[in-house]
Amino acid sequence: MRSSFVIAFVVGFAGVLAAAYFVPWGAHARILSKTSVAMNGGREETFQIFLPADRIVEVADGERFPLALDSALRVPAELATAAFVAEHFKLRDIDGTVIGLATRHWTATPTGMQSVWAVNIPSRGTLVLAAEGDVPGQLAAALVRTGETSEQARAEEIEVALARDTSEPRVVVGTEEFQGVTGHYSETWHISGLNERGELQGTIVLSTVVNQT
Amino acid sequence: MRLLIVWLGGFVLGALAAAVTLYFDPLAAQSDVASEAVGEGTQNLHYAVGGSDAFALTHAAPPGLKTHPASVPTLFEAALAKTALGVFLLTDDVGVGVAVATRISKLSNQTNPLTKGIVLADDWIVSVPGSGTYVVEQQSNVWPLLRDTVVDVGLLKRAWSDHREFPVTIGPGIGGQALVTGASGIYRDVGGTAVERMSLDGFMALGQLPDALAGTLTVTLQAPSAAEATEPTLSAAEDSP
Repeated sequence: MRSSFVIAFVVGFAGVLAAAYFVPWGAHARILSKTSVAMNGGREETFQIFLPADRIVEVADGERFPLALDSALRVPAELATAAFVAEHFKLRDIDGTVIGLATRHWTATPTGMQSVWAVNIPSRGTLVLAAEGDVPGQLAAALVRTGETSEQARAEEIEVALARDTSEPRVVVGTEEFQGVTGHYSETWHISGLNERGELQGTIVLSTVVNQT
Repeated sequence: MRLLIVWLGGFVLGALAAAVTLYFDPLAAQSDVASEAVGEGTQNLHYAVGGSDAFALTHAAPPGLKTHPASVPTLFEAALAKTALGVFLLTDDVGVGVAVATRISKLSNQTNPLTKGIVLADDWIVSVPGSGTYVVEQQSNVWPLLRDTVVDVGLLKRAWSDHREFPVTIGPGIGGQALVTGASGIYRDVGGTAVERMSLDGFMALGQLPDALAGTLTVTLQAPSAAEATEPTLSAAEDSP
């Protein structure tokens, strides 16, 4: 009887510790990566963000960023001395399945406006992208040119290429499966109109090409 | 029948003994506060998870864990089930806002309750309006925090009222520090390290999470030349005697 108790005790003790050790607690649901081989080498992958459905929260300096949403949270006065917008979205693959989160900080710097994207895919890691250029200004100008700032929804879609070769769009750093990668990306907004709350409707397309170094 | 009761009793006691072992977690990675670098280029950035200094916090919204503001969408999708997003105002030591940070935290695949603790993989995107942006890659062990809140107060009903700090950073840098990479503006080519500690001024009920939580991210930035000169590399470590 005593030996049975001891064996059961050891089984219970070892079983719990084995579960603690062997169960993959940190595993995330993994959606099949939709990647392809780029023509001149590297791995190509395109991500999408549907507006306004995928927007999570925006923090903005409304005075200097005319496209700031009415619902945007405002930066405090001590930080409102330079243009700044932080946008947060759910990130989709090319098929439209949510696979992660995307964060973009647009910040005024001594050399002009610059944007930094953090593309976070929980099952794969994070890819940080950056580009120079007055991205909010380009977007606002494109909308003004087409009359998009009026409250009337447009019948046709407009396309605004924001991160292009001239703005030096680059991969800054990656983690986990993206660790050690280099590369570049492009960012294009396909805008189909404004909804009744004044929010942009359309799709942001991030196309990345990365090389493992 | 008697044998079955003996087996069950032995198994349950063994499982409880294992649970106590995991509670104290002697093998888990501990944050090495002593490795925190303080000197020129070091800045303490304070944040609050709740209150007026916190812009937003969202996650998969398990029962009892709040999100804010009320309008923020939850991360209900399967791919985001173990992920949280926070947007915080970062203040300096005198309480003046100096930066805005986004923190994306997910349960890390390094998590092992027996040998490493409950490990989060955190990505901080820190922007100083007018200056630029840098990112912080961090691994943090939040088991001591969860033990003192969820287990002690939520399960064991042992509330406490003192000030407690939880140094959470355990990597991924050599020395257990987080890694800083400059991304834009004046930070574009800088590197550096960071450590984070969370704190609570007492904890009475599980409902206080996450609003009662505050933290400090201590960031040490190095100019490009300094970062290159001091950056430890695997090959350099292998070459050393």
